[in-house]
Amino acid sequence: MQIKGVTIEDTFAEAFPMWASRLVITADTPHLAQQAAQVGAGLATSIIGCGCEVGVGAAIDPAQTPDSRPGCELLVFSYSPEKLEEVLFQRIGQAILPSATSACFNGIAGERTAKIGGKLRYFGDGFQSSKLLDGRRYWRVPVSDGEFVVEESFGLAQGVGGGNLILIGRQRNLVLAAAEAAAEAICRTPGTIAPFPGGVCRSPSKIGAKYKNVRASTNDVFCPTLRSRAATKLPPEAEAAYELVIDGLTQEGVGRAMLVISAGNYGGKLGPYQFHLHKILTEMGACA
Amino acid sequence: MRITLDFHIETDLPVDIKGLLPSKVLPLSSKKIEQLQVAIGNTQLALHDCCQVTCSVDATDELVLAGDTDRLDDIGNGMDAGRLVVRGDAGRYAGVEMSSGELVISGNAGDYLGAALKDGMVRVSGNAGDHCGACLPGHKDGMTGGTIFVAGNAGNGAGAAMRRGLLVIGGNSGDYTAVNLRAGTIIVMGTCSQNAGLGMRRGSLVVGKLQGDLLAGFSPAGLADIEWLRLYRNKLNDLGMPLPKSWLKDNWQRFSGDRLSLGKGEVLVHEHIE
Repeated sequence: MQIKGVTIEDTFAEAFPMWASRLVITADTPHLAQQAAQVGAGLATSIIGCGCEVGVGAAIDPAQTPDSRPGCELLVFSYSPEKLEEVLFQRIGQAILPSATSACFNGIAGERTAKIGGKLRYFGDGFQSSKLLDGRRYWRVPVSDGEFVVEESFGLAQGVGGGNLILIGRQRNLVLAAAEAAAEAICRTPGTIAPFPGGVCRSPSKIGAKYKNVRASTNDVFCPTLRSRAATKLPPEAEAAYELVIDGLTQEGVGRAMLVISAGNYGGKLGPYQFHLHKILTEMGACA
Repeated sequence: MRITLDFHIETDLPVDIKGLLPSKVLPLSSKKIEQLQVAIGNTQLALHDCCQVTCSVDATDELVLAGDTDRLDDIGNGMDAGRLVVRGDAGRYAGVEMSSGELVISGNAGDYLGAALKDGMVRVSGNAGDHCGACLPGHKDGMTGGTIFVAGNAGNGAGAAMRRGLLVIGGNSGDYTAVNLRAGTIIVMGTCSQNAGLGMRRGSLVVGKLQGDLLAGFSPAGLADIEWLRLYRNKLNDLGMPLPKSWLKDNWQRFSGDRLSLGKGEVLVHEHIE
């Protein structure tokens, strides 16, 4: 398939189920809310080494936040509800709680819930208090600029992780520009994130390695410097390839975010979700 | 289905209508409803002797009380489901020990409105008497959940011994508001009178204006932002009782106490008046 001179491989992207949570972070200004969210998303690019994948979502208008202040959404993904609970506790406690004027609320009704504020309250050392409003409990933890308000329970929902696209091109700077534009588009899609730096990954991985203790290693078929030493998926004139990894709260959301070029799959061994590029593009009318 | 009970009572005695609840009345036929009894003084009277029963099949499911409703005591006492509307004033003990549902009073309510409320919603368009949301005489617990909205003023002892829930008073509240408060939230948008928070253990009393000083058991805790109060903004907006805009912009004076009791309560004061 060709779209405006770009070849779309007839392949599919493979994704796997993940557990997801959506945090609504608010603060006195949009900048402070964004800052808290960005710190909360630190070192969370890949589930392989970070235990989670986190991305900053859209800014939220004060009219849509629980406390009527400017907000920002943070999407957190992990491989099990237990790990996700651990990650949420760490990130809310170590990144969002210390952020000036911040508050943190649950933004998703999940199949399961995790008590996060219910544990973080102990930081209050006995001075904490709570408010119960419409069946939801909010903890008030005293901090040095007032109180950190955090919801007691956060929803954990089934999401989709690891949906990916690979952009291959002649000139590195042009491929990168395209990848960055695509990452921006992904982040604008509600409920999806691209967790790598700037949404772009230059180190697509394959499962396993020649070394038995290494779980993932460089995906050599996309490395231009290895063309003469290993099998390659790069055309001869290609100079670079960049991967876009997409996590989403729903399969549909990930599909909507994937309107680009090629995709990485592992022969159907990685996960149950398969996003066939030609099918997605045809359904979205991109070939017209 | 809407069932309307239009009361015409020619007596000065209070009329106890305990048991006339939406969950019990709505499933009955008109004839059976007319046979239900109410207590006037020490005598029992069938409904057909003191009120007219009408049914509207196409309307919302609710029980409506109209006519001489100001004599009716125990309206919605122990209510466990449904919607009960009072077109006019309500007598004493309206909404006492309600566990679910919605009680709407378009006029004023007497003493002990929503006393010992467990859950559900009580809305009053006018004023409420003494002991609104408080504990019943001889009992130790006030509201343990639910929400009471009084658009007008409330009398003395509002929210006494409250353990949980939300009590919002759109106007002024009398003396001894939040006395022996154990937890929960009381918001007085107007002026709160004397001796507020006496014996308060935990919980929050938020007042627009405080008349005079708080009791000696309260310590000033300086200026405070009111992060948590913003959470109530949407709910109050939905119920047509928005928080004043200045409340969300200004800093508040915060007091903690009552140190004669546990002392973990807070009183937030927007403005002091002498």
